[in-house]
Amino acid sequence: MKNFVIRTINLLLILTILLGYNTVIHARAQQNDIARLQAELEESQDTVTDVKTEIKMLADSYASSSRPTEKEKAEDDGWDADESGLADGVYEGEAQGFGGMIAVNVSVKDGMVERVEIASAEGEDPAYLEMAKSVAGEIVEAQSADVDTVSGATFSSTGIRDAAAKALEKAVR
Amino acid sequence: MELHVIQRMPPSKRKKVHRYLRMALQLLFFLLYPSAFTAAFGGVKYIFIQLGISEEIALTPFVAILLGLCIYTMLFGRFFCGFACAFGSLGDALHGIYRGIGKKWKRKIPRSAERIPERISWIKYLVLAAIVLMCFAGVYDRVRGTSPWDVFSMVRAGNLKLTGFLPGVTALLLLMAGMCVWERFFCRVFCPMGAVFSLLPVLPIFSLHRDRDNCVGRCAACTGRCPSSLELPEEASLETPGDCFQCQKCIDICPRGNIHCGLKRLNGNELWFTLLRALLLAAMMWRLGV
Repeated sequence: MKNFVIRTINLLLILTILLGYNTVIHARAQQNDIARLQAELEESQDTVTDVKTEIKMLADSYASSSRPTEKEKAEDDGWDADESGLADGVYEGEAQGFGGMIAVNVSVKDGMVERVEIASAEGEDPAYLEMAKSVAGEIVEAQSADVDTVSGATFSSTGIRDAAAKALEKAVR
Repeated sequence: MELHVIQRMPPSKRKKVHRYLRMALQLLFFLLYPSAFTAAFGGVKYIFIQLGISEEIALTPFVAILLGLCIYTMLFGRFFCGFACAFGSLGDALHGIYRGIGKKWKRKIPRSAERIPERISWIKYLVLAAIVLMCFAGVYDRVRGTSPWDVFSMVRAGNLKLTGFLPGVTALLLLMAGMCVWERFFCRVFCPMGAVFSLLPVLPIFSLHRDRDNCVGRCAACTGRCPSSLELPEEASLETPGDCFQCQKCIDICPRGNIHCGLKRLNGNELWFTLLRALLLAAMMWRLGV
């Protein structure tokens, strides 16, 4: 009797503590996000101001001479999306996962990595594959396959990452 | 076979049916859902890693499986351990083979050695504590190569690239040797997931109790057959022994039929009841993506 009651109370206590912990951490994360977004907003506003100034300068220089100078042409290229060196298209890559080969399709659009899709992963256990999929999102965010694997699903996420890396090699101009 | 035919069979035959059913179910779970225990324990490790870096605990697939198995265990006791855990089934197979060979060569382990696992069954709580502390401190990655579970999972998946896993391989081989000699050696002494399960409160409706008033003198056949050498609690008790795997061996061997579930009308070894519990577990595992 005693044992059962103690265990039940312990369990309820632990669950309450964990839920409370999660709530606090979540609230803190939200506050951090708000602060970060505000900072980004300020930065964007600064950039807008800078761009406006540059446009005015260019407009003035066009008014005073009929052609853009070599220097200004070089500045222009800073806005080119081709800089990343990736050719548009869908590329395939394969690498060893936990129980077999994992094949991924990496889509590149406008020179940026748009999506990493898993074409086949037959040798992986569903729960592990689900955990490992987050590495695909990280690759898109980082715009490179040089990302950390998912702890707990190391083999599966390594397979996805390495397959994406091989695919990206094909995309380099 | 008709159910009523089985119920009226002599106890010896019924025991065999129960035994073969259990073996069949263990084989089925081994083939269909072999990574349940690693996934569930992955959830435990994840929780402590997140706690250690002050991050949110999200409902990842591993955490979902952990929750599912814990809720199931709070209802049905450690049925998962007794029927669906691939590692436990491996142990049962090894032990069965060892005893079979022992019978042919007329060898047995000496009586005194048989009590050893009982005395050291607290070690699994130590293993659990060590692992979760390392996860909390963020250093679990350093001991990756030592897990016999990881090695077992890899070998089972056909992945034989075991470089860096030498400690794990050694541990696995030693554990397998132990499982040959003592029934459920790993489960009783080292399993951290089992430690988690034995800490949960289990509803008494389906856990096994013994009507001692009706026992024959100093029989203790149930304790003798029990893989965990348990002495089951009395009828009115709310307790559930932490190491009962619901293997039903005690129910089958009792000459007086003294053992039954907290719910008095259930013995606990009825075929439909076993199949129902197995089905529920399998359905849950399928749904959770094990």
